[in-house]
Amino acid sequence: MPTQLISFCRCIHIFGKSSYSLPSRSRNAFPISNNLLESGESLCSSVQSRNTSFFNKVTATQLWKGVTSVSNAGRKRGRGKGVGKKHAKDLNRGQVIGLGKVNMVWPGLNAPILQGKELVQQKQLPPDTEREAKLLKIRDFMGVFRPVRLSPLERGWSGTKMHGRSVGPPDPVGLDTFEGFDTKVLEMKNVAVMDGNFGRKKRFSVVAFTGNKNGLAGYAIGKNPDGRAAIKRAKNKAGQKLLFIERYNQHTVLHDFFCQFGQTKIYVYKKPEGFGLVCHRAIRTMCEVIGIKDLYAKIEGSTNLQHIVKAFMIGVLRQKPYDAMAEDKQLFVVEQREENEDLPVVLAAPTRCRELKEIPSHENLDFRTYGFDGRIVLRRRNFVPFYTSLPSWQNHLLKTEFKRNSNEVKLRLFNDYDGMKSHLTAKHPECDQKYAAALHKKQLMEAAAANENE
Amino acid sequence: MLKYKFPRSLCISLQNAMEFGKRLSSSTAARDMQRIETFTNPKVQSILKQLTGRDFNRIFRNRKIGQKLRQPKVTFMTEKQLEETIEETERKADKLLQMPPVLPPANNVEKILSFDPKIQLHDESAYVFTDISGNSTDRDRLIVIRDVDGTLRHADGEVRTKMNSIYFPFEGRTLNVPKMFSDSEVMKSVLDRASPIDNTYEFILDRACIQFDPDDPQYVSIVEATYDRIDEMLDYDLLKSTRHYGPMVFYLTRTRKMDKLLMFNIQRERISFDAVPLVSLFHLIFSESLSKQKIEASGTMDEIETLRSYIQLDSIKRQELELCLNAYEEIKRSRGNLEKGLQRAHGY
Repeated sequence: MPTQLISFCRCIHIFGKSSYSLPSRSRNAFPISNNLLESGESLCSSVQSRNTSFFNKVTATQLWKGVTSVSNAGRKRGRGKGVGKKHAKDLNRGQVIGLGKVNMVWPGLNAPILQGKELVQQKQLPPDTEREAKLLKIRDFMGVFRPVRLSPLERGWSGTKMHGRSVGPPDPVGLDTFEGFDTKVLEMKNVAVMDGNFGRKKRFSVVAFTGNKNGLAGYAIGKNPDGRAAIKRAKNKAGQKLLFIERYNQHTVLHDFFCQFGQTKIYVYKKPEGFGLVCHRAIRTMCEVIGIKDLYAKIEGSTNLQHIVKAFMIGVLRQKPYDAMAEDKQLFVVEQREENEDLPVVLAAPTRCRELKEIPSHENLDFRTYGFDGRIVLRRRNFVPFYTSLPSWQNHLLKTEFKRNSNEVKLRLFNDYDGMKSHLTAKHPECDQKYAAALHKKQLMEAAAANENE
Repeated sequence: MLKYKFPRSLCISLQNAMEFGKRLSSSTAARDMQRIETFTNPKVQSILKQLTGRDFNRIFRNRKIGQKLRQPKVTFMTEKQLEETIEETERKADKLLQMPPVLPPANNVEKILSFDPKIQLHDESAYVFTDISGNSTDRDRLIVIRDVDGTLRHADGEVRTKMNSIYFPFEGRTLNVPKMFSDSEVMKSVLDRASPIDNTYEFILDRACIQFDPDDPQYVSIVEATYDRIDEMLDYDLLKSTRHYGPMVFYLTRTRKMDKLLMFNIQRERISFDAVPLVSLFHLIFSESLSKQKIEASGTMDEIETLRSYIQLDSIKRQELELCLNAYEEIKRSRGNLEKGLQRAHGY
């Protein structure tokens, strides 16, 4: 019984990756004595002490998991994410095998065995006072939440979200290597379904759009509980559903058209070179991937992303090539450009051309309306500020007329006279803006020269 | 009216010098004048038009002048409408290919209206009076100068252009002569930078057309310098299907510098439509030439023979041209033989 009551004071070392010294749970206040106590006598109160505990029976990973893990219920409530998340710290960082708390030279471990011809001896060096402090400093910086940093080129439509970000070409299948293809994620959302056993079953729904910037494109939806897996699935599925899209001169659509899917209506306009993609960001991303560089698109109604994708694809696939138009109308399709002095270029010729008298008066011959299938798009009046109708506006215009051309005049003067001068400046140098400053400078220099001479 | 200091004494001495010069070299000067006047000959005009070419893609090319691009206009047309549009395009092409006139440089001849010594030294500078009523062109406009010594005379040359530019400016014509034309160093650097992408030669010639009158001595010197440069670099094709090709060919032919151009055409096997008309042009300008007499004597002549007669009798780079023509004939012969051989092989 006395042996059960009395225990030795002991330092407990946990072997393995970490060397963290922990005092024992109980410390015997009384020294060891050979005198055994008589029954009935009690020297100390019963204090629980352990020689071993979970600390040295469990691995470091398991210990960290105990500290950092969040329950399923907690995760549902969004705990253990972002700044609040507890991160495991790798306690081996900042330490080298062979160097420890005791600053000692171990030949073969942290020192060479032979120094020249002499054998190196085991030696204890004076203790390193700063070692603990350094380690603590390193560990202070570890385990802090750092948000993902993306370069502007990698960024999608906003911040760190996957929308609009590129995820590379689809994975090669057999001999198809998808060279020149690039996929963009158009939508990545968390969707859930209720299950009898698991409750809310969460998964990611990803819309990926892939294309080779040369007319081939396809889109697909991929779903998976893991985000990355969902993207991969969508990407590869899209690679299997490629369609060829007609373009005009590899930079825009063939003609203006209207397309619709559900309540999402899109009016798409063909635009000249250099116009750019002036449209909803989803349509812009799609066009970049297809290879369309100039477009104007106006969405009316719902802006549901999947509907936009489907509507635009419907529209762009239903484009009428010029030959079909010519056959349908039985007339020549002729293009004339202002910058080429309206030189007529025949885009398509019909097999048989109608004459003017064969064309009924009510027939629509307007190309734009033809593309829109007879629809006439509402053109809003150009915005004009209220004051332009007031008489004071005319007064203002009269007063400011003299300086309306001032920028062009400035350019011309710089070209002709090397500055804001005129043909009179040579005769009257004081008219030059910089004359006074140049004169002052000259006087100063002369004064300085005069002083030097003296 | 505008105060303008014009050195009258200088003008008179110039006039005298020119008249004296005329009397000395009257024959060559007169003949030069005559040759320049052949430009208006309808036969010459038709040859020059033929030589210019009519590539619509080049004539109506996209000129990078900072215009805003709009969606191209697409229309449904009947066959007749299409034909009408094409006819209109042909007319536009004719207008764009209208050649700037080739004129002898104008000599500043002063026409004195009156001499009133009573108002001498009325001011320290001369006065220029311009009639700015709207019913006259730049050349017809009444512009007179009242000098310090009391002379009232018609303005001429630089004074006229300056006054016209001040009161009736138009897009492209600057008041002061651009540095490109006044400074020979700048002109040289512009010509050095010539490339087909910029259409540099066309730009220089177009700008000269806008800035000067065709009989302005400055215009003539600029334009001739450009033509000489094109001849030096063999960049003739850069002016093809433009309005400047005709005057360039005319200048080269008139000044007996057409041999390089002829060689250029023979090397590219452009015999019927380029080389032979060029020689015909030479005959029209130099009606006294030996090759022309030979043709007149013989009646009709083969294409190659006309070229050969010119090369042998009137050309300056005779040996090179003969080699060139012989090489062409060789190629033609061997090609003919090859075709015959192929036909025989195919059983014809």
